[in-house]
Amino acid sequence: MKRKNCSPTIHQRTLFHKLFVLSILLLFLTGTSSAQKNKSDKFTTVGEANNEEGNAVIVGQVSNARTGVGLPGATLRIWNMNKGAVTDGKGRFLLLLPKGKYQITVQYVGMQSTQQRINLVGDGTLNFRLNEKVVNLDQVVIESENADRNLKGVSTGVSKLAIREIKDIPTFLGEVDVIKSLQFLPGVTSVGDGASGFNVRGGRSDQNLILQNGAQMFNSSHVLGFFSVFNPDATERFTLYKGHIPAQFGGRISSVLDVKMKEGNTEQLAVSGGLGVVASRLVVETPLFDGKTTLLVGGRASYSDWILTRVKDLDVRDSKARFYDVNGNIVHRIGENNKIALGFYRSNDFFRFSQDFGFTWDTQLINLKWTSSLSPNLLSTLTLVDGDYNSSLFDPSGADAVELENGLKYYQIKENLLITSLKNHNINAGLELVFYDGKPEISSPFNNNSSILSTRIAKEKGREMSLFINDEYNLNDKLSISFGLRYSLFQNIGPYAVFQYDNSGQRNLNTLVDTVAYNKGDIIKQYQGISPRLSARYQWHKTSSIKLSYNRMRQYIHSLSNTTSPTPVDLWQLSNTYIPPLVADNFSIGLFKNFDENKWESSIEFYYKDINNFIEYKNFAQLLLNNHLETELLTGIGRSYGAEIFLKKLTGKLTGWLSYTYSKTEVKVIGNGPEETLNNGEWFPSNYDKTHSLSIVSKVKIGKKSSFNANFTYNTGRPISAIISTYKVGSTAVPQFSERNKYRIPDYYRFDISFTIAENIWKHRIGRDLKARRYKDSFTFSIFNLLARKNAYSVFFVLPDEFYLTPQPHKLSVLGAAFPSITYNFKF
Amino acid sequence: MNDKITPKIIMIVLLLVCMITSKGCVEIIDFEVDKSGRQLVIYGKFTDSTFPQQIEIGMTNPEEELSTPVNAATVTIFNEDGEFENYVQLEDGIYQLEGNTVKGERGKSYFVEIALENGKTYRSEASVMPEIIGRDVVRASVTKAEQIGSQGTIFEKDVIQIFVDTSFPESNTPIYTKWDIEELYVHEEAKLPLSRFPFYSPKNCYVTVFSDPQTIRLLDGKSFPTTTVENQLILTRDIDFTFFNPHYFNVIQSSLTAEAFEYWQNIDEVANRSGSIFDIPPAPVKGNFFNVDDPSEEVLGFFEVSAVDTARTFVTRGDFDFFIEEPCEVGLEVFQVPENCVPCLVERLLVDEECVNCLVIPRSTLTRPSYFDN
Repeated sequence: MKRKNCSPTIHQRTLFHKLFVLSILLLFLTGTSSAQKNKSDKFTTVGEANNEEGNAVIVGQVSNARTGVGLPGATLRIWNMNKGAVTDGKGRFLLLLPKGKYQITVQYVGMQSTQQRINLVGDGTLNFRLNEKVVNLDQVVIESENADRNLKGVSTGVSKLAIREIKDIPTFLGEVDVIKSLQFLPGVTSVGDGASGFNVRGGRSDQNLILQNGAQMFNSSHVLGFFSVFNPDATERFTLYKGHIPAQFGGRISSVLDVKMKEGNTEQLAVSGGLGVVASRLVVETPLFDGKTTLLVGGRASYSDWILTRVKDLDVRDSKARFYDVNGNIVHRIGENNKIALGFYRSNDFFRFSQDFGFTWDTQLINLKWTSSLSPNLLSTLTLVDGDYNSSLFDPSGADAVELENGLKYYQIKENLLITSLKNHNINAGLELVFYDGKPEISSPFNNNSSILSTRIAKEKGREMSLFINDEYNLNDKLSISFGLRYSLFQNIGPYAVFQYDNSGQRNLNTLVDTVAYNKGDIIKQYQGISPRLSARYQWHKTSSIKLSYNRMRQYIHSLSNTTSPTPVDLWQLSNTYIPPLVADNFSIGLFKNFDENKWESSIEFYYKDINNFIEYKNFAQLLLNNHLETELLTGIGRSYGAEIFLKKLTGKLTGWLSYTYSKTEVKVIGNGPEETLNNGEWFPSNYDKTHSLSIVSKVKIGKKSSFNANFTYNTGRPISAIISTYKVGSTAVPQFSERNKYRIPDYYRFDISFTIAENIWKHRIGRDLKARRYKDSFTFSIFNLLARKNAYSVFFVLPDEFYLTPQPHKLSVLGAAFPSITYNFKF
Repeated sequence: MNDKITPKIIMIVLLLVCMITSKGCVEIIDFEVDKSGRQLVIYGKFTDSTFPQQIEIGMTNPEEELSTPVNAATVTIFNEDGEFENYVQLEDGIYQLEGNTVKGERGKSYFVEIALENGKTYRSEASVMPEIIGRDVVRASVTKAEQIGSQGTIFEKDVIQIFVDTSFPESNTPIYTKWDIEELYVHEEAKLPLSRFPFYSPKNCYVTVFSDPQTIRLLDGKSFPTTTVENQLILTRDIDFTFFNPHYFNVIQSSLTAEAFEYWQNIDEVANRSGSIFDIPPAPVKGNFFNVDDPSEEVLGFFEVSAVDTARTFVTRGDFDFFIEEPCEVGLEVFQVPENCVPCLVERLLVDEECVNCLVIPRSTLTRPSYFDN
């Protein structure tokens, strides 16, 4: 089916959408006139506006117009480029091209060739139907990938990975994991094995904006952090922005993790899945209504309790840990220029430690995305999100058996216009509105035997409105610039009661003097500001480029966590009267160099980040069920700086990468009086400061399909406070701790291996039907932590049984052994 | 090829499954820190009970395991009426209130001042003794608990558990409560044959043990209705020879000020850490003493002003359906030593020293407590 270039009629859109788009157009006064003038160009827009720079993928099929049968071996050729592709046995093809305008010629022996002009703005689908006619076949040179993308991209600190790149990486218990894979990239670390979230360039985990098809996610982990929430079979690719962050993104100061989920197979029923040691997954994709609609349904579930029963420790043996997640996505194409996608995601976790305590937490997302090609040079993407995050902590035993719940309800609206009418410009402009409705923190008796009082701590609401414009401008082959502005306005709104404190500057219960009540909708506190974004790339040689960037980022929502690692029950707290937004200025500069005809790529990046209103905690801060949280929080400044070295081998029998990061992240807190000043007002390392970080990821191909993978990871130990003396209070021995984060736990290193056999081992046993459906399967054996190193998750101090002795340092290793696993993956 | 691989895969799977020992582990490590010391530590508890009112003063010592006692200090307690009284030094670093001038009364405010020999003066924040305290009913229960042996085998062990039901009077203010448990048992000396040791007369010692002093048992009154809290398990303890004779559990309930409650919460936080992801970062625990001339000096410890009430229960060996060995039972081996030579029994390791001189047991006395049931 050929794509026709026709403008959408008015009745095809809702009035709301039209007005919305027009308002944006008027607001930015850009692109429209040119778009109208270019109607005669007859370019078909391919893809939807995405926020990435550089390349886009076109997938499609070349088929016989009369029979509809796919044509294997058909050639596609890009005019004025030495590029093309050949279709596979089903007539399908894949092309990776830099975004822009092209003319594609399709040829097949015995068929009439055809040409089509396209405007490639993002990943998309393009099908060709050829009529029967004999023609000569030209010789076509095929390149698999634009290997110098790292040089040509305008942004610093951008890491892109596809699921296919990480699926062979050895992982804990064999689960392919987006978040864990990120931690092999420079500048990305975590607190330790089994810790939730990830830390980018020394930032806290709540400083990362995690997007799944544009919807914010407030929890990225299953089982407290052992697995990520992204089903790899339903995930297309993910991009981490940690240096330059385009103006389309905002709301967090450290990074953006943009995860794109699959839309569904447009041609036939496709099934993929895997059986693992602790969890299994299944994804089904199918076209509906002649391919105009695609449906994807996927799910994962764990059965990890059995592994706990093998542990010697009685408490662990009596513990429970399980999760599931469900993905659903239905995409419908309306005409040639409109596409509506409705996504659904739900994840749930249950964790109980013996009879002592437990957690449940769940996320639900409903995501509606309408992509509309308003003109050949104007693409509109409207995203609506309904998000819901809930967590609870329970203590099921004793007279104080209690359940504590909190959560966050949120709604997002984002309109993004991609304007390509100006030559060499890719302009993204739009607005974003996020409404946060903090759920009250509620404690209630866990059972009838509990004497606990029910308590309800109200939480504020807030709305964050942003306008953005970002232009990626290719001045010439050597110089590209991306510059943008993002204006954000945040309002903390009632109903809420705000405590007032005296003029001493100290906030505690002794200085509390009054309470001001705000009604529903009242604006309690408002913050706003402009966040400029700038990045430039100068490529002085075909193998070398230099990039630099500056970003200002603002963050109005914070995870309050006073524990070593984030937990699922951490409070998500909006900026309010006493909690100003985090504001960070990020500077980066990077040198990029490729070798040996782009078989090797390398880079070195330097960064510096300056953070204002950094949130720290008073000693022994009590955050749960606290209706005057501001008395437990401190505000300081932070800084982060470092260097990242990256070397990657892209082709050959051995592929993989090496990354090394040197970084420092420090905090300074000077408050009113000693109680509100930390470490005498001196700079001290943040909880996530890791000076040296080294990762090596390697893959050796064995035969055509099998491979051997090995990883090595090293990190400097994270900072802790340690005991410097001991004294006695009554009959209790009390350790005296040092200043905050004066010491470090032992360094971390780990070696993992995996072996993937992809010989379609069981294919012949499964039957003709599946054979016909190109059944593919593989086994992946992996051993996580092959050296069985007992890496320190934490160091703590315990009094020995003998009374009145100095507490002895103990090391807690979460994974104190080698963990072998096997995963069976299949698709057909 | 596939026919060969499949059985191998199954074999490998089985092997891998068997190898899985999903465990974290905790082990002692060397961890170098710069030890520091010479910080003043003061702890005192002033109550409305008849217990001795004592204050301990020490100095942290980087080289030693515990604080060095501070002697010759002048310790004075003041009440809100302007009355004051000096403590008397009882032993190294321990001072006790001997007089009756300043008595603990609920609702009254108290503070102490300590003048050291070096001229420095320290003072506690004034604290009001809480007016309300709960009433405890204590009971003991013998049960079995699963434990793991060194080889990883699970076995059941007899334990004794102490439960408390507490009723609180109506109050508009939260009640902050802390429980301490003191055990008292009778230690009977060995009954040596009179024919061999005619001058030996066995004594009964009353031995006090602080149960599990590192466990801080607190109840935050803000979270509870001021009525009753039932079935609180406050102690689980192995059954040993100390239960051969009547064994008392004295449950001492202290009604704390909000500041004292927070202090003990913080102590609990730093003294009982597991290293898990749920531990909050540790920090020095700030007390309520300060240097009068130099408020920036960090002084450790706390002066606690509490209302106190004690409830108790006891068990005898008749409460157990199993045999408890007599701790100082002797046999014919005592005839191996010269007549009347009791020390020889100890020297030849035939009898434990505390079986012929029970006063060597820490915190033992020959004085029978008034409540002790014959």
